[in-house]
Amino acid sequence: MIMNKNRTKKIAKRTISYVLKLALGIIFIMPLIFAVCYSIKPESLITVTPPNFFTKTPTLEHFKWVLVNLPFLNYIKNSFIVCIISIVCQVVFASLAAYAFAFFDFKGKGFFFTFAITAMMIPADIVIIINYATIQKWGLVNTYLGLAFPTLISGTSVFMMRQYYLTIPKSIKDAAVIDGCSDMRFLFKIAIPLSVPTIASLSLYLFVIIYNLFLWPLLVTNTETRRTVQIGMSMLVTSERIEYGPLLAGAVCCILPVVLVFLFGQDYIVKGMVAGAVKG
Amino acid sequence: MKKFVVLLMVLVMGFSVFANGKTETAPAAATAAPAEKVQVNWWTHWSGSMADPLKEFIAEFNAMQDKYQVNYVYQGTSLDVIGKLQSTQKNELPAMFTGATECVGYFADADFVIPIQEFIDKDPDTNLDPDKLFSISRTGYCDRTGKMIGYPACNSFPGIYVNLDMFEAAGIDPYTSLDTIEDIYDVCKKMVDGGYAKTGIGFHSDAYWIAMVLSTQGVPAFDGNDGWTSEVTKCVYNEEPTKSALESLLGTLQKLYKEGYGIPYGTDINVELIPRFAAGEFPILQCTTGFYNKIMLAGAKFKIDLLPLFGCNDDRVHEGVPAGGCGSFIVDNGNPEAQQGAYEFIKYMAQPENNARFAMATGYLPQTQAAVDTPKYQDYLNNTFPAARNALKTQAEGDGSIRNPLAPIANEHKEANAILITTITNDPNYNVDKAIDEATVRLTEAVELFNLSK
Repeated sequence: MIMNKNRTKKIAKRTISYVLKLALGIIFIMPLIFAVCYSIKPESLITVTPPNFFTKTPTLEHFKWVLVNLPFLNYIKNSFIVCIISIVCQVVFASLAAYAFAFFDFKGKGFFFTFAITAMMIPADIVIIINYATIQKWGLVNTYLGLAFPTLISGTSVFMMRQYYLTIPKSIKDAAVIDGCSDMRFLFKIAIPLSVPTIASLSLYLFVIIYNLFLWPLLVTNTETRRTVQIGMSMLVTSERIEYGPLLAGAVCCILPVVLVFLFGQDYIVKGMVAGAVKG
Repeated sequence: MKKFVVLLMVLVMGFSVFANGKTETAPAAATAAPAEKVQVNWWTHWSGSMADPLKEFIAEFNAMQDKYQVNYVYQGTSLDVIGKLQSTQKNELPAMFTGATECVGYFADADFVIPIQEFIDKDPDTNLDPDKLFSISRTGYCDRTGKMIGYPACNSFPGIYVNLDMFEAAGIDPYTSLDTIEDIYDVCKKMVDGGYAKTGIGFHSDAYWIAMVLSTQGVPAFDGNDGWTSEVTKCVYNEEPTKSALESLLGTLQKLYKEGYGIPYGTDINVELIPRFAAGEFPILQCTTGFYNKIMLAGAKFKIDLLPLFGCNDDRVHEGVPAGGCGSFIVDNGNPEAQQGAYEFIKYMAQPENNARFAMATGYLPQTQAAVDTPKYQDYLNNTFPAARNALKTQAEGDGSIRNPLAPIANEHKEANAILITTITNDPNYNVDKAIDEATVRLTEAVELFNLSK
């Protein structure tokens, strides 16, 4: 009887816990639900008060308008290309740099690492104009490389990878060296495979940042063929006439890839966050 | 492997040092092949459905001649456009761009703008006759010597929409009772206290209208007669006669909000103000002609009219308001052919029928009487936008002395005014003179910074 009581208590606690978590989750996801529900409403019903999530006359006209009048899919494709270039380069460069900082002692190591960290503290907006002038001089305007250039490496990625590599016991490296493993072989065969969760977490973090960039792509592109999705979103907003239907439809199209990426990569985010938290 | 990686890194570092790309050269002449059209890139902030009529004009212009190819290029907000123009190398600049009227003071000074007057003077057969523009539009795009810097595409008339049915029910004549901010307060009080309205007035949170109210009042915001007689060096908000005018305006607004006759300043015009106005909740909405379509789409079923902006007090000098909206400006991109193409396209847009078409598609007002008199625009006035008649009359009657400040800091001016009005309306006890002094300091610093950067 006591066991039954305890079991009931446990079930009740778990149920309450799930209900609370569900409620909290729905609150957090409410803006998304709002955007999706209102993006399929006719324009005349969008600003009706009191607000009503559901409509008896759902329509896809806003999505049609966005996809027909703007090359939105092209924008999303460009955003993805830029993200892939930047993420691959950042992971490669950051892994190499972090490996050096974590496993080797050399002159100026502290200085260079501090230099890399200091780069994290410089707001992007301060250097954006000088970077734009550089890109113009190099003839990289309207190119994917020009779009990705400022994000090919960052202090944040070096820092994250270094923190993870510091958690790899030195004894593993020593054992590998004893067995005849070279430094680069250790990096590619042992360190990088071990750091996959951190790399995945870093990739997701970079994806969100680079996908959401607006000012830099606006500066370095002048043609529709190279524009990114955030510029497409801004085209749906004008100073004197905001049509909320197309705006919300555009927002849903824009956010969908990010949501999918997060859904598939959420485990890695958590693993990456705690990697390096526990030593030994 | 180690050697390979080291070699790769050295190559990458070497590449980054020497990969300077091509040096700045003269712009690629757009005459690479005789059959190729001269590319005329047009940087604009108009987008979405506002860009649709522009794209139609572009397609027509490109199809009707084989020399120039105009390309629509969206470049963010009007601020983004200016920022990009400032940062772009000469050979990458477009041939023309869209700029706001209130920024003409900056464009007159900017080294990337070629005054359109230079093209007009060389073209004896031009249809771009500044004397045919409404006076306020002509003045709105001139520098202090009277030289046209750009050419207006439209006028975004700032005024107050009034619910005529509510005014009729309350027994108030809107055409004689809304001359000053004090009149606005009296009408709001009467309407709300008399049970005719839930609240009195809603303001567009974009603070462009404050500078226009001062212009209507006939008082300057900056020295040098608002930049029209000499270069601006400071803000004169805290000097007479501007100080008294602002005290009247801000003091009355503060009173109006304190007593609950205004919808909180900063309320979103699209999401809340327009739906509530269309639902008949309040009688006066301050915004521009561009919002008329939205008000109708929101289901307004009452008689509506658009009246000119109010003044600060009875010392008001002008009846009308200065020009608003946007114009086209030609860019010094080192490519004379593209610049000429831009000029030709501006001429096309300025033809009366086209000017009228653009006005009808966007809700802005046409720039010439010839455009207003076109049969299609007359039909539009009669059947679609009768409320524009008042605005057009005010626009036509306005003389060239009603003008925006010819100051190079239009955006900072708008921002400072927004802070000023928000402070006063949100805090009923905030000292008005203190707020005026703060705005003066803010704007004077902006002017000094700009002058230092020249």
